Amino acid sequence: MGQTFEELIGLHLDDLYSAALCFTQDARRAEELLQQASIRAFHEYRRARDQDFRRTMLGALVSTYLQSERRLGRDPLAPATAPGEEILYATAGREFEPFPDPGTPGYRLLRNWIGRVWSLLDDGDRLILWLADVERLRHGIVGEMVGVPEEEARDRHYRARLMLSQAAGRALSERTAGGAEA
Amino acid sequence: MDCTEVKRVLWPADVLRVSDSELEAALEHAEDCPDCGHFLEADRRLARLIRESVPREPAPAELRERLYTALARERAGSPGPRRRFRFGRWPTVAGALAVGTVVGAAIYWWGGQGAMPSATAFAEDYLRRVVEQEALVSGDPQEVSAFFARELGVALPPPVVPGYELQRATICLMNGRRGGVVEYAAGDRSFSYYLVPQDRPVTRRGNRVDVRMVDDSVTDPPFALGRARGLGVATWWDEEHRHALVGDLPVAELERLAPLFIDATLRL
Repeated sequence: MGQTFEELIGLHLDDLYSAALCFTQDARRAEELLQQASIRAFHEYRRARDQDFRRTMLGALVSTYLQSERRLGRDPLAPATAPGEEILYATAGREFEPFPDPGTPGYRLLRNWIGRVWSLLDDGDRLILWLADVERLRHGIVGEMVGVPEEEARDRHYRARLMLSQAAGRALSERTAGGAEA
Repeated sequence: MDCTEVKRVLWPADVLRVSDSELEAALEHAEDCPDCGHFLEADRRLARLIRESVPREPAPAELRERLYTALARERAGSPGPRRRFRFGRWPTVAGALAVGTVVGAAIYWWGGQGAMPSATAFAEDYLRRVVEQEALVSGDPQEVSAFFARELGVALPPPVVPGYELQRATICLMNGRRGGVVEYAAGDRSFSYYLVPQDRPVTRRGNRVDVRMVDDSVTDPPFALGRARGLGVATWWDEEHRHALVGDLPVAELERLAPLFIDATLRL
């Protein structure tokens, strides 16, 4: 017999809470969001138990989050680029040249700064980045979850990586400059 | 294929793709192009950094409790094929079938092959509690009922058992499922009643006793009786719950007590 919904949610709860916290950037809202999404996913999962639990739960979390944002008059997925504007696939990672090797102090410093600048991203970028890079969902699945075509999910994912790397790059530069002045 | 197109095809660099002619052309270009190679390597490293840097927070313990409580309420209140047990509604043929079910269940029950909590699991939980003295709430019947409503979504009024006093109620974890336990005592004798909500309607199998299947023409008890780990155990189930009485009591005593609980739980 498979695990119960409660067992499964217990196993994934820390990850789901981290996701909710990342989306909302607010502990109280993250808890409310997770509770609402769990009830929603519980009913979905009860109807079709052959579904992937984590994906069902993430889908419920994302749709509940987007609904709550839209009720507040915000749309995390408002168009990020003008129609027809093409994202230039050229610059990801250039902020960190030379890119430090894993295990080196520079790498650890960079990882630390990237961790800090998640909160500086737009809500939509954070959402997409979590789904595509942390959950490692394919762009087609990400698009289904957030309600955009696969190509748009892909472009938004690229943009989010770029934004994150640029924000971390800026923060590192400022720190380095500040350190030099000091 | 120029560099921009190659980057479009090969991005993100950390994802496996199904090979096709476009992909092969892009890979061929990237092998010989330092700019594209550098871009892809930087992107791979960036993706790794993003995954490693993700902000993670453990869920607060209070959230976990609230979530389980909300799910228990939802489980109790959610519409579904919830048929209530009624003695006398089944035709005589069903009654005859039920006799077979009961006898079969009594034979197979102690095989303990079912995925649901076995008699041994109930007995072991009982023994753990005796050792650990894990009391959670008082023994007041109204408080117990409210406690279970809050914790399990099941407002279970503990039945009055002649000769025994209600002692306390606790929450158990039975094969990962939260259940309720009501403890009774009389002098140096004690027993516990277990109620474990099931995740989905229970399917009929050989080692179960479904109280719904018992017609009032049936004289055999609508529960299975036996001993496990030196304790007497009576078990039965309905569509959404597993029930058990466990205690250091003679089987005959459990046989006397079980109908009181079956009657009470039919009102759930």
